[in-house]
This record gives sequence, C-alpha cells and structure tokens, in this order.
Amino acid sequence: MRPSVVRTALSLTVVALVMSIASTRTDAHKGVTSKYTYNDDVYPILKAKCGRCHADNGPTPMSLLTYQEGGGAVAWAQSIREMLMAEAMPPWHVDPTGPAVKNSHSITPHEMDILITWASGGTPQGDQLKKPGPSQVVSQWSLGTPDATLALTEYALPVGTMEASTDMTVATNFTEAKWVKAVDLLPGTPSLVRQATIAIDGGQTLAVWEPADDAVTAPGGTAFKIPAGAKLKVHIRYKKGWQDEQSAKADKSTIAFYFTDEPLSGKEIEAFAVEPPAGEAPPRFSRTLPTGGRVLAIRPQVDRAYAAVEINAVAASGRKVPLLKLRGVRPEWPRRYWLADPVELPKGTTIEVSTTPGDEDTGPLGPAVKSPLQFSLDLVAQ
Amino acid sequence: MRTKLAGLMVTLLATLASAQQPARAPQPPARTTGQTPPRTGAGALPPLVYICPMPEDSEVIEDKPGKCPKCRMALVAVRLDSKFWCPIHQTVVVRDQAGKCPRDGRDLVPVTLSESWSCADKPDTKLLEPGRCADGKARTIKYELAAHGDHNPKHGGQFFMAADRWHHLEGTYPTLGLVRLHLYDNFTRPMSPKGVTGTLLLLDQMNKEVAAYPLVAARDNRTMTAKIPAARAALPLNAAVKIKFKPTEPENFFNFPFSKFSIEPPAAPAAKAPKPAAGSTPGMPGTPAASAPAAPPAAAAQEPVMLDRPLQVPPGLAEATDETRLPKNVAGLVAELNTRATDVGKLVAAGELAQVWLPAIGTKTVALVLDAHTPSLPERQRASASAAVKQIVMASWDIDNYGDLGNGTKVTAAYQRLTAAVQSLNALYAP
Repeated sequence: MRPSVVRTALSLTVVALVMSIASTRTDAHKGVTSKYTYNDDVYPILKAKCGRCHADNGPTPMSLLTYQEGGGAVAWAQSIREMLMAEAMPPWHVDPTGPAVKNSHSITPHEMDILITWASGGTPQGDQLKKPGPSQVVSQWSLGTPDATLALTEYALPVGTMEASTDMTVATNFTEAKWVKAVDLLPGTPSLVRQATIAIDGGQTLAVWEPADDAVTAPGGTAFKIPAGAKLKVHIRYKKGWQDEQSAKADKSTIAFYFTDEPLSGKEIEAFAVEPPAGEAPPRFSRTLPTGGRVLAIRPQVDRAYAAVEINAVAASGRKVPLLKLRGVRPEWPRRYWLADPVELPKGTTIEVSTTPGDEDTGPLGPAVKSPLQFSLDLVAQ
Repeated sequence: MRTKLAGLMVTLLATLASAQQPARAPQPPARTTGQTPPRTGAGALPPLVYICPMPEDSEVIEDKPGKCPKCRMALVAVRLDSKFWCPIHQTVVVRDQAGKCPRDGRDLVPVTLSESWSCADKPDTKLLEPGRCADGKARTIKYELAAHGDHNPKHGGQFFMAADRWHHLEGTYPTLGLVRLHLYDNFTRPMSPKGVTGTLLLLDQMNKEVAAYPLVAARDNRTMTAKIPAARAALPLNAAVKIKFKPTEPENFFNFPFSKFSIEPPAAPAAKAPKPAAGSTPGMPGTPAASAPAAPPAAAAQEPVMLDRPLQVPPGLAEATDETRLPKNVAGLVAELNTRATDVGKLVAAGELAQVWLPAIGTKTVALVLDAHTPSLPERQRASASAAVKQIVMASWDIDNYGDLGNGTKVTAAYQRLTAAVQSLNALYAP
C-alpha cells in the first residue's frame, strides 16, 4: 500500500493542479474549520458539562480534560459529535419546555455548537501557554462535612469481571430517630462506581446517587425520617473501564448523613409510587392520591429507552398540572429530580404517566439496561 | 513552518500508544499497542511526502520539499499510511487490515493516516521517525487523520462523500442520455471502478423510483456510465445512484438532481504543472514511478510541527459565520434567520446537496446570536426559544453532513426540522 501512496502522490500532483485551477471552488463542501480552540473554548465546556465523569480517574474510561495526552478529547472528537447530535450526552433528560428542576446541567445551544464545530473542524488546540493543568476527579462531599458517616464494606471486582452490582444491608446503629435533609455517597474508587441507591430497609429511598450530580438537600422544613435502629439497603452498580479489564479493582464507599430538625408538621417525606398494571406497560397509566400532599421530587425508573415521558397531576375538575417532562430517557442514569417549585396537590388528584417509547437498540449508546418501570413521587402528606 | 500542519489536518489526532494511554482495546492486536512495529530501517517506514499546509489545498501531494504550487506556502513533510480504524471509537484500534471494531463490533473503515512519533516531555512535538527519547524510552507513535478537504467537483458535476468517508464520487450529466460517475478516493485521486457495482435510478417529483439503469465501468478505467432512453432523458433529470464500492460492503445512496448539463471545466495551462517524475503518467493510479522516494532525505532537518493555532477558515465560511455583520435587534435577526433558512430551502428544493451546507451554517449563526436575546422573552417562553435554537444547530450540522454525503432524504428531513424550529422562533419573537 505504501508504494502506491507515493506513486499516486507523484502522478497526482499534475492532475490535482490541473483540476484545482480549473474548478470553481466557491460553493463546494469544505470541512467546517473551527475558529474555536481546545484551550480557549472547548476545555471550559468539557470541564463544566462533562468533567465530572470524563476525567482522568473518573467513572468513564475516556478523559476529555486533556487535549491528547492519555487519550484525550481529540481522540474522542468524532464520538463527542455523535453523542451531542443524538442528544445522548450529556445524559440530562429533562425537557426544558416542562417544569424546572434543581441542579439542571443541560448543555446550551452555544456550547453544543462550539463542541461540534471543534470536533468537526480540525480540533485545534490553541495557545500552548493556555494549556489547562492536569485535572482528576476530586473525591469530596458536595454538601460539606457530614453530620455522620457510615463506611461500607469493600467490594472487589476480580480480573476479567467488567461489571457487577451489589445489594448490602447495613445497620445505621442510630439509637434514636434521625431527621435528615440529605444522604450522600462518596466512592472509594471513583473510576468504579457508576450508580447507587440508598434506602431505608423496607422504607423510603434516601438517595439516588450517580457521579455527575451533587447531592441536593430537601427543601427547608422538610426531611426524611430514619427510625431508631433502622437498617439501610444499599445498591451499588460497578463498572470497570475497558483498560482495567485485566486488573483486579475494589471499592469501599462511604455514606454521609446531613441531619436537620424535625419539621413543625412532624411529617416526613414519603414515597407515592405510580406503576403500570402487570403485563406489558400501556402508554398511559395513573394512580390517584389517597390524601393531599406537597410534591417535592420525582424518581422515574424506566425499563427501556423512551422518546418522551410526561408526568401530570390531574385534579378532580380535570385541570392538568405538569410535574415533570422528560425526553430521550434511558435507564442507565436514574435520578431523583427535585422540583424547582414544589407542587401542592389536593386529595383525589390523579397522577398520570404517559410514555412514548424510543428507539431501543440504536443510537450511540446501544441497547438499554432493563429494569422495572416505576415513577415515585416524594411528597409530604397534608 | 512550525504551525503549518495546523492548517492541514482536517480532523482527528489519534494518540495511541504509550503505556499510560487508555484509549485502546482490552486485547490489542498487533498494531494497536503503540509499540513501534519492527522496522528494518528507515526504508521500511511509510514514505515521506510533502503536502500543502492549507486545508483548501489538501490535494497537493509532492514527493520533495518545496513551495505549495497553489498558496506558495512551504510544504510540510508527513508520512502517510493506509490503515483501518473504528468508525466511531477511532482511536481504539488502528490496524493494517479490515475487521471489526473491538469496542462496538462495527466494521473497521479505511483511513489515510499520517504517522509521527513523540516523547512524553514534548507530546506536541512531532518527529518523523521512531527512536529513543532523552529519557531512554522509545518514542510513541501517533496517528493523525490526513488531509481530506477537497470536495470540489472536478468535472462540473455534483461531488459527494460516501458514508465510509473514504470513497468520493462526482456525478455529471454531460450530454443527453448519458450520466457519468467519477470515482475518487480519500485524496480525491481518481479510482478504478473495478469491483464497484451500481445502478442509476430516475425518480419522480415525489422521489419515487420510476426507472433503473445499470452503471457500467467505462473504458477510461475511472468512471462509470449509465445510458438513459431519450424519452426519459430530458432536463431536469431527477437522478440517484445506488452503489456498492465492494461486494461485501453496504449499499450507498446518493441523490443527483441535474437541472442543467454538466460542463467540463477547461484544462489548466500545462506550463504551471510541476514536472512529474519520470515514468509516471499523470492521473493514473498505480502507474509505477521510476524511483521510489528516497529514504527520508534530511528528515532530521525537518522542524517539529506544532498544532498550536486555529485552522484557517475559508472565506465563504468566514462570511457565513460572521456575527459582526448581523442586525443588532431581535426583529432584524428574526428576518435574517428567515432569509437564510429560505436560502437553504431553495437549495434543498433544487437538490443542490453539495451547496446546501453554507447557508445552513449561516442560518445556525443567526440562530445562535438570536439565542443571546432569550432573556427579552417572558420567562416561560425562554426554554422553548433555546430549545428551538438547539434544534437549528443540530439540523444545520445534519444538513452539512448529509449534504456532503449526498443523502437527499436526510437533508430534507433535517431541513424540515430546521424550518419547524424557525417557525417556533417566529411565533415566540412575534411582536
């Protein structure tokens, strides 16, 4: 092959010259050359919108926070473009035309355009003097020093095991009931821990953890209640980066509690689950609230990819209030969406879920992981 | 000289290699480890060729140093090699042979890469040979996607790139009843149609197939032709091509709507052409050159090439993306947005797929400037306005991409998304 490169190179010179002088070149397609550079324009966006996961030592094997050292963003440019164009990354599924949620990290049109222009247009690096310094995933509590912590036992992934998940039951050893405004998790090995759920054994889910999000505290005057002597059910999903397949890895994560005062009402945050009837899920299903309440957050858990999901509250009068609107939802990154504005619902309100299935097995992320379909409302009863 | 390569490399820099680099498969095949393969001396390296640093002039490839015959800038030395890599996870493997991508199982695609070597202390300094670094470690090899920017028609026709981003083709309608297809490779070098099979389709106004004619290899060994009966051959000719570049590869589809006959551009004055190497026939791939290129002559004298400057932006694109000339007020921006979207629509309607990218990029530019005015809207409308701008950004990039691939269906679909989003913005910003 190599000699032919040269042979044609030699002969092509003449042809190319003849052709190019003769041809009109005003309108033909050209790669859109990028005026944006990595150091000036691209790195700050990648750092802010992708850097929680795509960092050296982070929970994904591809760091985007270096230009080309150790893989780097240039190597993933085509992939960045594909993910953005499919709206598969960053994995933020809230439809901006629906109700607002806390800690939104969607990507703006301008940021998206800068990344695609750069990825498509030559991936220039920019001024060497502005090269960003090394950045690693920083393991720290997002809400500051916890009021109490609970160390989990170590979990090991042997050589050859790429993925695993564990369910452990852990004693809190709380001798009295505790009111908490937030529960968080700190991975011991950030490159392994992909997702975690922390719930009271037989009770309320306290935290839905994934690496891209900071913990959110319950709105003022509301709290979760952990009974004295309660045990926690902790589910953690681990995944190695492909470069670690041939090495053994272990994680020892820690759980944090942030205490608060008992609310004046004395009422805790409860879950209200809306599930489809048994069998194949219909595109629309609902459940009526037995008592009124103030909805603070919604935890969707989807069984497959959906193009769109809407959760509405329908009053007895027929008036409809949207609670959450999602699009392009996938099961991999379940979240608790804290509503920016909690919604007060009277007794007899029907919570209605409507879903539009998405393309399951296509798209850059491939087939979705299966799990049961369920929508939980976190609310404080009246 | 040190910044010249920045102007050349149209896309990715693939860094495979040293032990600390993760971007590789769990069980790397022979050529993916970054270990410099056994070479038996400089002669075993891919040959040095000299290319023009301007992306506009990527078709210039010379066998010796000198000035670019087009832009007069000094030529840059590179080593070009033909390889295969993953279509999406491009850096995961670089292999000598076709095969499957170990990350996602997709077929590896052919690619022309330039090879360079570097040391850990100066990762951006590209050296043209393997060897040892100051710390005694072996230099690590890097692959860079080589020039691939010339999508200008050569024969007055419509020029497209195949989905594999390697094959290119130009359809011409030079004379009543004869459609000619010129085949090119990744360097816009004419290619033999050997092993290529294809059909010319005639479509009605709804783009439904009404007739099909075989494409047959022509005697010039670089084009294929299809003959159309006179009854169906009148202009405008709404043609399309289904083509397989290899029997085992998926079929490609390209729209070729001809509104007029293609006119072959006049040949350039021969005096301007550099003297070809003795024994080589211009334009005939595979014609043996009299002498293989010398082993890297004075390669040591080659200055390191740095990627440290934004690429040169072609003038037409600079104009389309120039924000300073746009109206400053919302009404003016909305009007300009509609004007540019209409320009896209005219080209889409005329089937000018190779040209549609520029007004699409221009439309996106206006939409992004308009996005800065979102705060002037009532709060509950802002998210919808921004969502519409994002739709325009994505639709424009799709038009750019699928226009280049000659995929009329996808361009039309993207244009429909673009107009829907423009309509939303019209409604949101209505006075």
